[in-house]
Amino acid sequence: MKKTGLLLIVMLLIASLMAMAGAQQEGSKAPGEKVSLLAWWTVRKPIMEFSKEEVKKFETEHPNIQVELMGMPEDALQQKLIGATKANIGPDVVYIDENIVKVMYNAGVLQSIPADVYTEAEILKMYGPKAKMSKIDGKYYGFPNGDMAAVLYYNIDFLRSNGFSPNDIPDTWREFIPLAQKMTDLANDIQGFPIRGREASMWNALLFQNEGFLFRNEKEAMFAGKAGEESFQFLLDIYKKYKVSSRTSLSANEAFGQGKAPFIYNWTWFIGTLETNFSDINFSTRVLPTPDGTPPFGSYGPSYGLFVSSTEAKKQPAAWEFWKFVTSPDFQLGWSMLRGLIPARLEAHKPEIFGKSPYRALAEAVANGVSYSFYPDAVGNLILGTMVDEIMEGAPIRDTMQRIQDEVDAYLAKHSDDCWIYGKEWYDKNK
Amino acid sequence: MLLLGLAFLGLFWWYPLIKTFLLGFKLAGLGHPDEPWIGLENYKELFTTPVFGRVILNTLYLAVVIVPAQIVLGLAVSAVLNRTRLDIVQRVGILSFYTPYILPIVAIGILWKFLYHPSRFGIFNFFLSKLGIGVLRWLEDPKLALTSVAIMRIWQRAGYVILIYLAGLQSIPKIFYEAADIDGATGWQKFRKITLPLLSSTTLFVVVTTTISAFMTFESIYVMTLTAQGGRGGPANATNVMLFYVFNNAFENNRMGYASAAATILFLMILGVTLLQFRYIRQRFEY
Repeated sequence: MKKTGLLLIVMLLIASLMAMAGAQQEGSKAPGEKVSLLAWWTVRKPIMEFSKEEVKKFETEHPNIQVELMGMPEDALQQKLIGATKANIGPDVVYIDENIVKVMYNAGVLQSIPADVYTEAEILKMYGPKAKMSKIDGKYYGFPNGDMAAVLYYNIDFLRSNGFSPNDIPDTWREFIPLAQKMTDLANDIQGFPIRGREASMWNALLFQNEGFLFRNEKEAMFAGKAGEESFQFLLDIYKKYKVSSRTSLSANEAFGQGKAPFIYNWTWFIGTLETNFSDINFSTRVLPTPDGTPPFGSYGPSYGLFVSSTEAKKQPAAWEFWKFVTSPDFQLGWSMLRGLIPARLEAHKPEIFGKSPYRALAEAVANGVSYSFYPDAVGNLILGTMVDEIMEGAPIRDTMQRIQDEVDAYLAKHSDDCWIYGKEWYDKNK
Repeated sequence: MLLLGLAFLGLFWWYPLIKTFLLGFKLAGLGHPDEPWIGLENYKELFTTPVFGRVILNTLYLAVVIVPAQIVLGLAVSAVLNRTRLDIVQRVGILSFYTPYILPIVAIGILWKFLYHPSRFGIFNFFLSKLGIGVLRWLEDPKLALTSVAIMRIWQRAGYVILIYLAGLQSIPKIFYEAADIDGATGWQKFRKITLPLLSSTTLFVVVTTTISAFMTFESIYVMTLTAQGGRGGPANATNVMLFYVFNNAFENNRMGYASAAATILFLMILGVTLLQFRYIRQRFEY
């Protein structure tokens, strides 16, 4: 019995040793060590689903690189990313909203693009001269996925049922408002041009249309002026004088999504919302009306972006390889269509897609718009929150604008490094 | 074991408390890893920033509305439940009032946002418009927004107050009421002379915990006041309260030193009001 037991143990030992040797042999066949990358990604469901499918393709092409996509809410990203990077447990690749790119750069989170990944000449060839807008202190770190802009959405069926066609939509606000009034029935919650919930964004577009600017340069705001005042007056008139929108009815997005409005103002990300949440709405887009029917149509904004944030030197080559994949024209095209963007990579500008509805208006608005500036929420909440709320509630326009502008200037005096300002002076030099 | 307990207390209670207090005198946050001392600069800025005055008033308003309303409601409902002879009615009553207290505040906030829809599609406005009163912009009118949040908070925490008062009422010996009956006391006299005084320690507990809870209002503001354009705490800072202000400056604006100074003021506010409550309520009722 003892002998049998001993024999069994020896056999098991031999079997284990053989298995280990086999495993080692198999391992030595692999061309390199397997690298696992962590990518903090957008939580937007359609983009996440698209990305997961694409990552499978990447992993097939790169069997030594494994990528985990982790959804990270935008409002939690800033603090978590800084903390995680400091503790060396941060992601290797990260999706960062444009408002905090400078903040992350200042915190030392972002890795600059090495010359062996892309040279500047290659970058300019891929992204065009606009790429230079992404340069920070002489280096490139990442690029926008694309540009988005505000456009006018219209409900084709709604127009038809009222005896109008998309060709009847005029180019000037002066002519547009009477058309919206003809389709307004506030008693039944039908709003010809609902703006509730979009006032701040629309004020911003109107400001640029009226040849105003938010900022003069990196240290100085300049929205408290005639253009800003006129823009606010127009918004107030939409409620009180023209009566094509109501503050006690559905919000702009709700009204349009429920087929209770022929038009709304919104940014092009709303294309995705309509297609996923309100798929029965037969809509299209066109550039916004303007005071005189000519550009600029408002502001456009680069939508950032994917960055390498890996702190481990041995992981960085794999991280850059993955970054190249997710900034490739094919990947960017898919992302852009789900996000309502004109892709930043020139190769991804497919005329068969972006030359047609609903993207054509976006392309036109971007081409004829003024670039938006990026700043932390502290500034955004002052301008688009406090100021707009107070004025829309009846506070004196001029005094309120001046007070908020002074507060913004005080912020910029201390924190302009965290902002990415394309002010009037920049625009005059680079338009 | 004692050492472990002290270590836990030191690490998770005293260290953050002292660190917060010290950070209030430093330039701390993103871009300031060295955390240089700046003396009273954060406090100076707090008291010269126009919005901070509004934040303090909002916080006090919330407490002034929530605390008395919860006490009156809690006492009234618990008195009714206490008099109910049917055990099942009492249990269903407690369950009904207590359920909102144990539900996630985020879910409640989202639900109430729908109830508060500023059109007739919101349930409250639906009934108001049926009554011919017209619709209210509950969360969008700066004059009404904070009260709307307070109403939700009163409803949400009422069950907690009811439960505490019910326990207090059930602990009062019946003999006092029987003696009062023999003396011919009315219901109101019994309530005023027996129930209220003998509930003074319960009231003190409820007042203190409810006040602290009102001062610490955060989640409901975070969930209910988000707008597409102005972030949270609006409209026009109408719902910007202390804890939200601290959070916003610490984690959104990355101003840890400034936020720590605001947190210290919040701590002192709570401490001051609590000490006042102890002093006032004990002097008035306890015997």
